[in-house]
Amino acid sequence: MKPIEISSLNKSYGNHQVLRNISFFFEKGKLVGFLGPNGAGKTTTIRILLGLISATSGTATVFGNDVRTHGSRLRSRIGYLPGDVHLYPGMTGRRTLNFFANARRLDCASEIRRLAHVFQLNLDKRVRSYSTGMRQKLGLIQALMHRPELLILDEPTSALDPLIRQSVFSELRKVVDDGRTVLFSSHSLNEVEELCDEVIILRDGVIVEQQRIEVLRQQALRKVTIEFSSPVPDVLPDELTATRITGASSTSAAAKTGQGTGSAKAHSPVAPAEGNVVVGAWKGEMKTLIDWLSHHDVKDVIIERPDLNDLFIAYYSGESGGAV
Amino acid sequence: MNAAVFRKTFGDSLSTLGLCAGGMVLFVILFVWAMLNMGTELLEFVARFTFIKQIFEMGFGISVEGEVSINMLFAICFTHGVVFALTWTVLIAAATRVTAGEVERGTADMLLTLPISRPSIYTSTSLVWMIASLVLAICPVIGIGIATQIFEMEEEVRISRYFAPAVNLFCLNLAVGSIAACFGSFSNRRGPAVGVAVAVVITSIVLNFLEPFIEFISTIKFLSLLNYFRPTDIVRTGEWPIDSMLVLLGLAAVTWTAGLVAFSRKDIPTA
Repeated sequence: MKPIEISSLNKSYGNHQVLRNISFFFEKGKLVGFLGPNGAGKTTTIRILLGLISATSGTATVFGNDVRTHGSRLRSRIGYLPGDVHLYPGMTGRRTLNFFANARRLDCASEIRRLAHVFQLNLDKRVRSYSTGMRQKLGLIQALMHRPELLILDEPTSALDPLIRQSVFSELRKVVDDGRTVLFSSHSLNEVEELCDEVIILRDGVIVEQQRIEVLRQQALRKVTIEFSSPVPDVLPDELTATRITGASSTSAAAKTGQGTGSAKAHSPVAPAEGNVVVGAWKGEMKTLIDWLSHHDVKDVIIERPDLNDLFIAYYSGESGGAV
Repeated sequence: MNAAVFRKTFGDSLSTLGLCAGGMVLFVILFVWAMLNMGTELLEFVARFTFIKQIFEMGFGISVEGEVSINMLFAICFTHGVVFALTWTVLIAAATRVTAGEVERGTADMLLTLPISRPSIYTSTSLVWMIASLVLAICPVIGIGIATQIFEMEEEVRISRYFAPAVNLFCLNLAVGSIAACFGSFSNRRGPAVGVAVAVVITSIVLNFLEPFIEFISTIKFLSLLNYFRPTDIVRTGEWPIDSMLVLLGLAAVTWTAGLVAFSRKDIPTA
């Protein structure tokens, strides 16, 4: 049974549509990153999954059950950390956790002790005296202490220092190693890249990508820098979007159009420039690039894998929402 | 019902409840002392002014020119402004604490993602203000009881005569708490929920106050909660006001249920 399955989900507030027919699911035992800029609909999706708000249409199931009709039973299998952690200020950290454990009718004392030690949190202070980071640690302990089958974390490390962040990552890896599942919403692309198996990218209430991170990188663009012994060829392949042409001598790149070489179809996407070095983005199979290069007098080639930041910007800057 | 939610909500309300209950008992003791020492003079004073007499008679249900027993004078404490103010402060605060307060503070996110159904949370927290309703309804009886032990009484004071007003007050408290819980469920902010609940009780008081002066009010006085709470009449006749209590309980049941449905279905926004 899939931990989360969403089908044709829509959510509107009056005329403002926050989610537009989104569908996704993932399998058990995955650490899934949930990416999107502010207002993309990540938190709305999470709140629908938890039964805090209702969808306008579509279905959201957790472990195969509808969250609105089986909410309380399902929530016993879920650990949740909201993006903005609000807790009872008059309670100590320990009393707060005991309250949540008692409400779940569970004895979580040993796990609370262990997690408080791992996250270096003093539980005997009142919540009102906690810093934002300490409240986030307390929220994390609350989400993890009952060893849930599904963890839904809304930007869980935004207020944590790098050392504690690594401790959190380590705990989350343990969760996944146990065969449990984590949905991890974040703005920090590096941490999603470091931590997650899979990523779902949301933009303007639409899923623009769901893919394993490795596959996503392979499918997406490469940064390429090609230095030719002679001026940049008149014709560049369609797959190559040249952002600039530099170097000593060249003909105008604006004129380079029409006849490709090898399997690559040619075009001329660059602004007028002169030189023998072309810097740009390659989207397509590497074989095609190598074929094309083999027909030219190439002095040097640098091909770089994009980091997730490049992907993120590519997804969010394009009009269509697809990778550029 | 969830015991942990009940204990937490009860703990949050306990200090306010303790202070208000203690304050109310103390006030009633002082009120009894004042009535013992100045009750007759007060009635004579009131009888001199038609305007005040009308207010007094409509507000407390006592004919100042008739025979007024000490038991009836003591029953006035049930409808005294101080008693209402203390009672309703506790009830409205407690009844809106979770339904609107937790949403406004942002703590509802944690509470409502626990494996507890919303009806269970609503019931657990309602039980707290219902217990508070009972405690606060008994306080005037306790105050009168203590006062009769402290002060010398010229005539016999039978505590049992105040049981019916206390039960009637309990019904009134349930109605007020249910109205507050209902508005709390419909609102995501505590201020407006408290405001509407206070407006309902203030309107009741105003209707009661204006009834002797504006004839039209008598046609709509059934809308006033206080129309169903006449403790001095109860003490005078010794009859239980079953009809009034049923009206108050019916109102409480309807508004409490409406609040339960609204709370179960409402979208919880981010704080």
